Amino acid sequence: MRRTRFSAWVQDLSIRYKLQLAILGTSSIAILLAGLAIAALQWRSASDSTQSDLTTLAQVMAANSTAAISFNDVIAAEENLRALRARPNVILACLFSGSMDSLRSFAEYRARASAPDCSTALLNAERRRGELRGQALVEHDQETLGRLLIIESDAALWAALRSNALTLSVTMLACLLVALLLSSLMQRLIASPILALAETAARISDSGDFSLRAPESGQDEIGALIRTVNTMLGQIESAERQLRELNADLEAQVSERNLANQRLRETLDQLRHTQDQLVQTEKMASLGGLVAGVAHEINTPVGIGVTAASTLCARARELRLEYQEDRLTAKGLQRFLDLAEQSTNIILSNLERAANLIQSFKQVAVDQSSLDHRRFRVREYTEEILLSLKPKLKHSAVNVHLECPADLRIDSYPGLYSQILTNLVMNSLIHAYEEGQAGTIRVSITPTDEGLQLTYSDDGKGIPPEHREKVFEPFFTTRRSAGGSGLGLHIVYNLVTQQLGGQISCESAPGKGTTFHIEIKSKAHARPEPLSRAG
Amino acid sequence: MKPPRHSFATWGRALLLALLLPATSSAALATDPSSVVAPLEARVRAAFLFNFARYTQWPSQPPERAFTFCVVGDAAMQQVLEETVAGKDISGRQPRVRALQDAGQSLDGCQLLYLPPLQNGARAQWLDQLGDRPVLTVSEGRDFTRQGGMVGFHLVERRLRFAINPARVHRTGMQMSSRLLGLADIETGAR
Repeated sequence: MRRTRFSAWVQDLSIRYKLQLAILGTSSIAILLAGLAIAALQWRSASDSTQSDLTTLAQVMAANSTAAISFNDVIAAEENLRALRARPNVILACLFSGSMDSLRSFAEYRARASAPDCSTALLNAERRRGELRGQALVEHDQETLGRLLIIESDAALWAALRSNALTLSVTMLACLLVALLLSSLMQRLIASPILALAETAARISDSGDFSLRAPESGQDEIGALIRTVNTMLGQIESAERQLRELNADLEAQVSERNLANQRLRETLDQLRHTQDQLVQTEKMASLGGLVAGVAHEINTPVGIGVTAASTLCARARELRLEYQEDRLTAKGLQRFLDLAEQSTNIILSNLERAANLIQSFKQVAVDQSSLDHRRFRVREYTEEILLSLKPKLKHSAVNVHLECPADLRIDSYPGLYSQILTNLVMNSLIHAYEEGQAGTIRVSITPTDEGLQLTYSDDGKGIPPEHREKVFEPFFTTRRSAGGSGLGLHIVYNLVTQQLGGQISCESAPGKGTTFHIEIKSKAHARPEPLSRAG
Repeated sequence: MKPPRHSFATWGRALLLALLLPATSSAALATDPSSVVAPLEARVRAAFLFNFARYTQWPSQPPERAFTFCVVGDAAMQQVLEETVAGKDISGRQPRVRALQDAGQSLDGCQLLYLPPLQNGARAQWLDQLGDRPVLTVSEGRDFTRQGGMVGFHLVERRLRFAINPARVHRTGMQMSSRLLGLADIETGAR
């Protein structure tokens, strides 16, 4: 809605002037309307009475003219009409003789030379502005003898109106004066409590001191408003006090919390540090296990070699003795040579096997402790890892069954890969099977577009549902008393999802074994994050 | 001076008549222009007589519904008057004209008596006979009103005017309209 300039001006006006304007405006409009109505009524009544005066005058003059017309006495008639001199506003008086159709001018009175001539046309002419007309029939004894027309200027009417208007104006002015006095009194009565309230509000908003109160005034709406505002101020004051107290409390709480948070953060840091240490320890432990397995594996071929060598050595000593005592027969020599050849073969093959074992263990160990990536044959490498786990497996009745395409190669981190597989196998051996329980672990590896899919499953006792969601959480273990660190699967999870950029999921049901689905991306596809504490 | 006055002065009696006609149109004078044969003065006098009757009230209304003009001797005047009042009425009464010849003839029924000018001796006789009976007496000359008559015609600047002796009229119980008196020369000195 567009505001007019006037309403905008009124809007900005102080309330005292607004009130005064309203009172004065209303009263002046009322006075003006009343004055106009009175003036109109006065004009109307003056006009009516002047007109009726004029008509009466015309009737009297007409009556006085009857005999003059009857006796055709123009002089008498004009004498008669000259009596109108007493009325200065009369312009013209015309006496016509005859009846309706045969009227003719009989006598006339002209107040001024400019007055029109008397003619019968005047009788029917429209009344002109500024003149009044009085007409009367000249009658005697029910016979119409003629007509009389008197034309008068309405100056008298105007004069009367002027004098009336003066009186009226003075009266209206007096009324307005009274209205002004009353309105200034009223506006003081109405506006001053409001202004006092506004001033109090301004002081409060300046100082923010809600203990200030507006001065009370009467019992009217403004008084009620002021009381309500005061009540409100009281409420604000107490609310503010409460707020301030609450704020102080809150600040204290916040600083307490900050302190607690600080401690928490320190604790968390310590925890992380400990976790890192544990992970490191676990890695070392795993490496230690590997070394133990390696030592054990190598022990067998070396033991066989030693046995074969000592057997050969003993037979060689016997041969020397037989030769010195000249008991050496061709047959005996032949037997020795057979044995020597056999023993040497055994020694050679076992040494070769030990050398192979060392080679592959060396590779695994190096990979496990290094973070280099390279292209490797998955099947071959997996077999080597499983071989390194043989000492652990040999103590249990668990077989590992591997399915993997022989030519599958992948460019990845073999150390991490071996750590994953080792941890999974160790997890199964520790948790899935009871002491001496027979079982089969199946490792199935298939190539995918981006790398490989490894499905690891055991047919052990499975994981209860309430534990399944926590298996990847650090330090979650059901075997802490048996020396479980709770980090094995967490490390697997970290390695798969972070270092190798892959995915791991676990499905298991009590009595149905456990299956891990692992997807590993090759180096070209994976974007491993920089190694963190979990590495 | 205004045209009517002017024309009076210059055109004389003929014009007087012409101007008189509309003013007295109610009178028989103007009803039949072809009958304008009577002397002009007689016609004017007849019209005046008729108007005198109309502007005068008689004290008691006679039972008969006629108003009687009585004309002594003057047959011409009688005839002109009859023409003038024909078809008219005076306050609702039918006017009629009666001719009287000699003094001593009964005046019963007369409301207005016209005495011709040449009967001075006889005129006094008529007046004596009437006494204070309510009969409007009209005759010629200014003397008439001084000698006990009520209305007397005379000429001023060739215009026919009339004098009235209101005291005389009043004595009989008749009332003359003030408007009529306003036009007349009032006779106050007479008995």
